[in-house]
Amino acid sequence: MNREPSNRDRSLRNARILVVEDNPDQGIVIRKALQQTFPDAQLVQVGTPEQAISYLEELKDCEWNIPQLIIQDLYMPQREDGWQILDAIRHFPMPICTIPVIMLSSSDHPDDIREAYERGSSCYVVKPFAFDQWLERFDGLRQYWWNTASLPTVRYSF
Amino acid sequence: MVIIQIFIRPLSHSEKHYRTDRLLLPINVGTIRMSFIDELLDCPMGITYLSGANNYTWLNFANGRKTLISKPLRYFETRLDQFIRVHKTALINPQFVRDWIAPARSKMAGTVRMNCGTVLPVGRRRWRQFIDHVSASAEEPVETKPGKNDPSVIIVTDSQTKASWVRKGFQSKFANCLVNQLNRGEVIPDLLLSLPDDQLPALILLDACSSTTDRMNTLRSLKETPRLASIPTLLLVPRNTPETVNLAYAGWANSVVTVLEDQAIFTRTMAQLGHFWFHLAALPSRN
Repeated sequence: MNREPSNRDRSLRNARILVVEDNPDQGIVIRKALQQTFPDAQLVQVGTPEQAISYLEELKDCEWNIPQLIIQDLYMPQREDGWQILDAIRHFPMPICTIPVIMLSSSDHPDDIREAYERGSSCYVVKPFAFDQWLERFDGLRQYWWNTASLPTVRYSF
Repeated sequence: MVIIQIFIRPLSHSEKHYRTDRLLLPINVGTIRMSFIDELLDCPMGITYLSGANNYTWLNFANGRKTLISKPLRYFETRLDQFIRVHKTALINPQFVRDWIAPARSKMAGTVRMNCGTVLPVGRRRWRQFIDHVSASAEEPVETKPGKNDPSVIIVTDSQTKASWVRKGFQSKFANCLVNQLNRGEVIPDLLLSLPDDQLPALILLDACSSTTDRMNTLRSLKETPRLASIPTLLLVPRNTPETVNLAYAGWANSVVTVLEDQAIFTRTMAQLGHFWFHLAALPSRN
């Protein structure tokens, strides 16, 4: 019987997710939601675009820490801050420029959504309100990015 | 007193919306607030099937959520007259039936498989009624009033078979989803640029299982064209092609999905794509 292909074939046991979020309270909510929905992943959280870019630059020497997924806020506190990190990621050399970037923002303004896609974010998700909605949304992210989609190969060491 | 925990989820954005609260309702069994169930039953098109036992019923929705109600299955059977009671434990929405297996001999039980993959028994005494109903409804087209906000998908593939699977998969979640097939990707940018904004597709799928070069070139053209770059563009690739996966992401593909040449699996993958991109993700609006 044909087995469905999935990222499980490539072992996501050591998966890493980078979260870029400047609001500490939202950072806690995101962390809790990720811990429940991606229990197998290591989470790295930073609060500014500069910290995110520094983190990614340092990864050139330790590729085993390259994240499989990046979840970033847009307004940090201005949308230009969000664009800055997204543009930087997309212009890094391989493999960092291939990492899927999920824009996670409270804004549902059509201009923000459209520009995020134009600038290269993989998808845009609007932040929900209640915590169980966060869980549902993050569970949906896991279902898609871990089970349905195929992720790029960012680590070659194993 | 019984505490029932009920998760109410919104149905898809094209259907009626419900408040998304988690309710803890202390109830006396049998005196549940009637208006809440009536609301659910008022818009039953999102319910795929109901399964019950011991005066409790699970409602299963097309978006994957489940709700437990303290009512027996027959309560819903009388109120959902389009649904088919296939078994003591199951009441199904014929619109979400994928296929069925007839009993080996008459007077034996058969099975029915729903779009979500769940397999349910069909009691031997109910088989005739079931088959008559689904055969009749198979001839009626699913209601697809084209509307301004119906999502549309473009699939670039040489394979009519695959295009039909894409259509089937997306329409299993979104009956009004339009799926258009194009054989060659190189025509797409000019074609789309000639369309008004509100006719642009919500999603573009490029079948890179064949004509990989054409698909990668199409991806690049789309992402270099400002008006089209914001349309989520996905590459479908065969198994064991990590180089193509990496190249696609490097080319700003929004996502890459590995597909198999198996109808059931392929169609289910398409339904999952539809669920994520049309229900969970926010897309650029076209007004």
